[in-house]
Amino acid sequence: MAGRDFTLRATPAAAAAIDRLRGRARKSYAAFEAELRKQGCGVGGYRLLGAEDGGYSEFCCKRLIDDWRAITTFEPGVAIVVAVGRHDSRAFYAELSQTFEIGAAGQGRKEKPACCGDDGWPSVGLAPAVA
Amino acid sequence: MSSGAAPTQLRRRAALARLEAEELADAVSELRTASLSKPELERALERVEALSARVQKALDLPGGLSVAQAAERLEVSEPTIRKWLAEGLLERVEGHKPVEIAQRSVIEVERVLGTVRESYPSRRWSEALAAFLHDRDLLGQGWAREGVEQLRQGELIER
Repeated sequence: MAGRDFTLRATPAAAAAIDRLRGRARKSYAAFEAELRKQGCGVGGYRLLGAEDGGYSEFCCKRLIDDWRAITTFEPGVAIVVAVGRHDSRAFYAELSQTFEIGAAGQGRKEKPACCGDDGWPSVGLAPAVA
Repeated sequence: MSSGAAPTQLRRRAALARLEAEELADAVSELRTASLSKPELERALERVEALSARVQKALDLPGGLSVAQAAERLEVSEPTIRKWLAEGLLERVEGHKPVEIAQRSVIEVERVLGTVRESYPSRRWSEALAAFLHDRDLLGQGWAREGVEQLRQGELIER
């Protein structure tokens, strides 16, 4: 299957963040990267909504471990790690449920659009697997 | 009155705005049915823009929407509108009591809600809005912004 693996690229910021990972976060990222090479957006997590208008963005978010997140995007045959960092989603939703009176969000996000998706953003991450 | 305009003036302005709005509706209706060349389309759009500007000028009063009006428009409760005002999601018109809400901010929130509802699996507005705010917060983190900016610049390295 090596010939069908995705080419993997990263922004310099993401690469630096990856180098700084230690312990369980480092191990978790290593496992994620290995799967990313094989499966592309199939392991990309969920599609992020766009900051401008709430439509689908070009980015996916994968929870690594604890509050570590990896943001990715894809081109045909290429997986790109855009950024790696920490974001405490649970705390964010807890605060949101109070300040914005969005009670249903207090426990976190139950439904997440798939990274690859059936429509909207093309499933470009799957291209090598179906070629 | 909070708007500072006398009732008669308000009625006259409203009448003028209605005239402009009627003309605007006609212009849009014509656009829908007409088969236009590109130059004709350009002229039609210029006309619509001019009419829109005249409507806004006729309605150029300092007042915003009431909390009840905003709640009805966005299909949420009045306490939710007040929360959103407190958090800056909606913008209040300064110096007006009782509270009035800037129309532009209502339109922007409405646009986000509409789009997010389409994007979000369940289409439940409260969860969809929470998801939008979460993702906006995530993409707004310094480490995420730096990565996205480098991506836009094509700064990528092989791994």
